[in-house]
Amino acid sequence: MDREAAQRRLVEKARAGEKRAFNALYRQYAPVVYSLARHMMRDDEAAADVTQETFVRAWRALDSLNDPQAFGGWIRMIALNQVRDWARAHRPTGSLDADSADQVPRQWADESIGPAEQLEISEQQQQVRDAIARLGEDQQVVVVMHHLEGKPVADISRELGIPLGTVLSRLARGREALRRKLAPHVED
Amino acid sequence: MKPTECAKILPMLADYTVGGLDVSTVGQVREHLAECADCHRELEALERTAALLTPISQVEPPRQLWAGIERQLEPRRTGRPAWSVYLRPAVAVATVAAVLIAFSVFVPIGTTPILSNSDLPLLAGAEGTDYAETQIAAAWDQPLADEVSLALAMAALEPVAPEEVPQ
Ligand SMILES: [Zn+2]
Repeated sequence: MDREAAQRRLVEKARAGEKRAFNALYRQYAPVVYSLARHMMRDDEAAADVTQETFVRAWRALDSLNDPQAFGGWIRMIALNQVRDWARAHRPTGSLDADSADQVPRQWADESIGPAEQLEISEQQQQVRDAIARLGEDQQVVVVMHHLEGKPVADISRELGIPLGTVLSRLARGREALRRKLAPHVED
Repeated sequence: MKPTECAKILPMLADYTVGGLDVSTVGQVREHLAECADCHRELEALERTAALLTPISQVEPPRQLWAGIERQLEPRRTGRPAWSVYLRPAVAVATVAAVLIAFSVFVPIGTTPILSNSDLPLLAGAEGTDYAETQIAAAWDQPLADEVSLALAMAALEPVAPEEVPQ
């Protein structure tokens, strides 16, 4: 049985109330959801709360998932909705976290970069995360899967059960939206 | 560069950067980009946008998380749960009998499980315990349970292919 068929079966069993099947889905997707929430929120505890709430909501809403194969995209969407709510509550004006200086991504935390530049990069990354959080759901999921998780577009197409052309066009529209939101950082 | 030409190319640039254009359109876009500084600048802005998207570091969630989730999972009573087992061909005849008996006394046993799997942790916890067996065990003190459990027991005795275990 291939991965997609196995997942479809797990979703159907979970729908039938089998917690064991839902636990198998949890084991498969909890690292994805938690890592995504942590990346977007920069807060381990809040990311754990979002992960927990995401799976509880998913269990309650399983009947609304039309295509069991799309569980992965759907669970990311539930998580991202909560990340957005959390961001609204924590950064109502879209402004930056006071402690964003602590949040320099490791790859940037370089001795050759001074504190001022590090702060600038960190603020820029915060705006990138805010821009991703404000994308439309369809674009958001493919942007996250491709650019943040590094998945090839063909894998995304299979995982979400949508044609490759749809993945590419959502990715393109998502990139246009991000380019507009991040104009000060990407224009000459 | 003629603005009409740019107006045609600009909306395609994002598709171009993600590889979403067919070969002939790619040719058109490249030709235009070679001559048009404005559109070339826009292409660079789109490429810088992608470069700003930093990868997620994969991390395992805290171990105790599932326990907190499981506590909040109410039994599911909607959707297709109880019925799926009855749709197996081997169970069909017994199902008809069970449903007829149930309907004759207005006990909606066919649509509402007497107890769901999750209400019966001891039974449901055992690997391979299936719905019919759970119902038989659960039905012992229910009205008219004898007939119904007989029908279900007949169904359970039918050879049914073991459930495939994914992965
Ligand atoms: Zn042009």
